[in-house]
Amino acid sequence: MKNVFIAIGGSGAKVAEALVRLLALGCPTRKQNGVYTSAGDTLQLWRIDPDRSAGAAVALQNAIRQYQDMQKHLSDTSQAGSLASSRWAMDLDTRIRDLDPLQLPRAADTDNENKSLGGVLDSQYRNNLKRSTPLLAPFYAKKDLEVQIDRGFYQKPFIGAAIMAIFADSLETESSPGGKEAGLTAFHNNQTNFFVCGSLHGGTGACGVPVMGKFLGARKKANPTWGWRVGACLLAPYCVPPQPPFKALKEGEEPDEQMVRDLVKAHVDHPAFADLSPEKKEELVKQILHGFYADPADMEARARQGLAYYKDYSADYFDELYLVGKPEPDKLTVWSNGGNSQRNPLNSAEVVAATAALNFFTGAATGDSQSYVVGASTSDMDSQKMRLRHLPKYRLGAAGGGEEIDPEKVFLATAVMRHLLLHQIRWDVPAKNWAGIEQLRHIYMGNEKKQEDDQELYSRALELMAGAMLSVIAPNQTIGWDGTDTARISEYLSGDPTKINEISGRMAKRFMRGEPTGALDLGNSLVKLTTVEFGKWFPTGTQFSRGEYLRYVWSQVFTRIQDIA
Amino acid sequence: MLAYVFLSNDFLRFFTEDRSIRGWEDTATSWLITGLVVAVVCAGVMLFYKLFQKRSAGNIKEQTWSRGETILLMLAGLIPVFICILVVWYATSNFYKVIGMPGLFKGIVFAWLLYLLFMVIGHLASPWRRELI
Repeated sequence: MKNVFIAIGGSGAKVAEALVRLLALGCPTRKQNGVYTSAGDTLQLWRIDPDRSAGAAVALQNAIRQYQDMQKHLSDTSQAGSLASSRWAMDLDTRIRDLDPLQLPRAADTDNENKSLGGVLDSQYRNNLKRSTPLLAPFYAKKDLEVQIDRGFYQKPFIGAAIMAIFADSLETESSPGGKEAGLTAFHNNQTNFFVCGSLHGGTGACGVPVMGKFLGARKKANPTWGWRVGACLLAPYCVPPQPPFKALKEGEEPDEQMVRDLVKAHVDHPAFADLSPEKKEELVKQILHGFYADPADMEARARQGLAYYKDYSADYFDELYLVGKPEPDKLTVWSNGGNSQRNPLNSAEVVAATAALNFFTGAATGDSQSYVVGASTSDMDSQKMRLRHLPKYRLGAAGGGEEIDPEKVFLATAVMRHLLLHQIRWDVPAKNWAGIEQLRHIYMGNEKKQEDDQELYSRALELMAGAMLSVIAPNQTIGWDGTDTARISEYLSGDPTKINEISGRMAKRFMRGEPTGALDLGNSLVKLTTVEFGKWFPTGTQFSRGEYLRYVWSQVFTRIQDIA
Repeated sequence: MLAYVFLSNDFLRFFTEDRSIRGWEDTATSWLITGLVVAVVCAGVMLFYKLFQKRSAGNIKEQTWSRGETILLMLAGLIPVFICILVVWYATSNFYKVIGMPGLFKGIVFAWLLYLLFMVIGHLASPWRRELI
């Protein structure tokens, strides 16, 4: 199945990062021949954001690079083009389609040069269209028309909505910059899941999600035989930025040049001003003075208005619509107004949104078109200190057996699989000497070079998986997680010989009996298995590849995980 | 032929210090047989120990023995061979008198060689051969 994740704005990009990490660490999207896997499906990422150098985009790019490396280590064939492919996980097109809503078609060379709302409205993008300024300018204040929007819409969806509408219209034309980048023709007559994700309270997300939903929904409706599905996830306020380094002016007041220069001088050491040219610094000061920044006080009201809009106008475009939020938003510590300096850690709410995307990609339907499914977190959950057991379980589609996938079990299976591969196989001994792992022995017997190479490649791939796990939930890299699960997973990932022996001991077979001496647990999940069982696991009927073997072992561990009663 | 070589006078002479005592040939023969028995028993014990270790291993990685570990096991078996020979030599007055100190060391080396031979044969004749060669 083809899947397209459309990340709108910074929140969308963070959810895309979480999704890539979850896929890397093994989250399955279907069950094939009894094996839980995501391999065979494809994922393409689109990013819609005028802020090309956003910190979230850099973090997403890093996650993709690590995913690509992991897939390369687990694949026995050379990687074709930009596709990161292996039998371990979903094929990922590593080229993010950067759909910049400010890259609009032009009727003349001077059109859409000025990256402001006024500049765009004062341009033509088709010869037969008139400029929109005379009609729309009266609805905006002068400062709204003039502010530079190449670093986002500063949580002002009323600015972004007009731009996004023009941009979505331009996608209809394959030769437009956006149309070329999206390449929608390739999806004609192809079953595809489109999943749009952005915030309800931001600027880019709030205006981009409904516009893209409408665009894709209309095309789907016009071509019902293509088998498209369109889903979305909206993020209600889940984190709030701190106040900017100084306050905005009162409505109607204008900053003078001296005031701007003084403020630049006073805040030259602030992280938001770092790496900016002197002109950009002055521009940032003016933006703050004019109130073009995310004001925490407005977020809730904006989200409420956004939800009302969806209810009245947009919900029908989507096959599935998910809403994620936190009762008490997390407080960010570093202020930024977009660009490279806005590097927020991955938030637990973004991971929840990524599981919504997984649920959509599996083909599972939540409720029906006539109803809402209200999933509320349990009263004991502290949204600022989440545990893996608090993550929503997603379902495999009917074709995949409709089974429930618990992310906590996914994490445990990956940690145990890593231990088995790295510490229960005698890689230091030639495979011909191996005992108890006969089929793998046959693969490497007489080919010590392949054994040595594969050990190295497994080791690197598993290191990246471990990194993916920690980057999703480790409190020192993320926001909104309790450290208990990280501590337990770190034990399973540890290279300390004492820890390794302790874990090996729990998976040891009792003398003269088949059962294990102990169990491995994580939160509410527990697995009991012996390494003797592990030695017998081997995929059947296919050509051996590292990814295939790893996925088979993972699936075997996963099926043995039970809930702690 | 081999038995002849084994028991030829020159060979027996090699292991004895005091050949003035009557019946020194019988004592020397007994000494060699002692070495043989000790080597066989120790090799058997060490091979059984390895089998037990493999069978009772809780984890598959403990079922796998590297060449280094196998050689280490064989070398470890030299110690009980040494101790057994020493005890028998010290506890038997004939050996003490006829074989003497030089004969003791020659006997130990002889038993060691036999023990190593049996260990190698034991591995080569079993599925464990790949752990040695």
